[in-house]
Amino acid sequence: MSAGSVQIIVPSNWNALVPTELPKLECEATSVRAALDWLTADYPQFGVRLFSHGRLASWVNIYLGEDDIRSLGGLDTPIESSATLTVIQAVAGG
Amino acid sequence: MSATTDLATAAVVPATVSTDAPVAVPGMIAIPASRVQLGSSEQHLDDVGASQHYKREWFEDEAPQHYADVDAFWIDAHLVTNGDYLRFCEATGYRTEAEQRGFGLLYGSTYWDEVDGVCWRHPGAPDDTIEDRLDHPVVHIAYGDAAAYAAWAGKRLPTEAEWEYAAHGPDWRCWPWGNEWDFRIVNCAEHWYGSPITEFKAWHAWWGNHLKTQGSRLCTTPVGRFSPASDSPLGVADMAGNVSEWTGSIYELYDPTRRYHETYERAAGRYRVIRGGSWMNFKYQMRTSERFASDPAYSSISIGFRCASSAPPSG
Repeated sequence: MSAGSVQIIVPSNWNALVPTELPKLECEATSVRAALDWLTADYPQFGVRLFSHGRLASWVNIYLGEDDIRSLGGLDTPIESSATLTVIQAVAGG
Repeated sequence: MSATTDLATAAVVPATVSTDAPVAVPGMIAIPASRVQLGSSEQHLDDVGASQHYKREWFEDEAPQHYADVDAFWIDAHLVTNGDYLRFCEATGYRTEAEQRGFGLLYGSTYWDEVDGVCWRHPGAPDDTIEDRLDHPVVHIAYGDAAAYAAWAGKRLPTEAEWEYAAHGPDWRCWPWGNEWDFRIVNCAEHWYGSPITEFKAWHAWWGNHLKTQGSRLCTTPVGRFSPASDSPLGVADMAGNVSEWTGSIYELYDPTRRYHETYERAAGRYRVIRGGSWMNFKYQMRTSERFASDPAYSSISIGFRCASSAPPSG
């Protein structure tokens, strides 16, 4: 399968977890899991905010375009062309 | 408006409040119809963004400040307690979403943990109990769990606008009691820490000490413990601190033409609104116009609710 170009949008408060302003987060990936692996390789501090017991944590939702990946194929959802992944905590704001 | 601080810069606009005498309902506060100021001013958001570790865009969904007409309603003076929820579950056999999925969320040394057996009956650990805390607010409650209780009680959840009105009255004020922050009169992280918290480092210092000395035990307090000092001008207790509260409103952006962070735009129409800070939060989350967008299925150690009604509930 060919990789798609993925833009990853994370909650704005995650900027407080890194020493400098987050750059635009873009990678090439064949699946949601591969895109998140890329993200957490560069920003390991995001890992606990995304995963629990080896799966997507209950306190976070991820949208591929307009669709919740849990209603698709979860972390194994394929990415075949350019896409946007939006990470939203189960509680946003505050 | 009363005396202001650097965080209290909303415009002063006279409110129009109905003078019709409301029907008294035990345990509930009658709130008259009114034109109500909602949301935060631009200056206030600038001040909040400059005062702590999150940028202004994290709070941008509180803007623009605007007015809305709110009909008369009744709201519970206090949060729904463990004892209240126990009576509901004993009467109906209801099982919360956390009970059905088998785990609840506790905050560990670095972040949230999914812990088997944790739910409203066992809020701080699988072997924790509510028996000595029946007058504390119930937690580990998802939106559906709150709505189910409210329907059983012949009530409903307050709308977001009703909640904010009940928290600060017709005109904006930063906290229910006024515009001067005082952590001594509200159940929040700073209250237990004993000092102001404006950044992660201080919050983690408090939390680390809490885990060391009390384990995962919650710092909820009996409902109304801080009354009347921290009550809203309408006499409603715990509108800041103790636990955050589900409202019945779907999360929407106040101005669809305005630019908000993409995550808020994605949450709009999907999430529900939670209002009011909890025992785990500090100063900025305690504000009356602070908004939380939440997945309806989410529950944790810091979220509970209270009920409202459009008419005097029977019985």
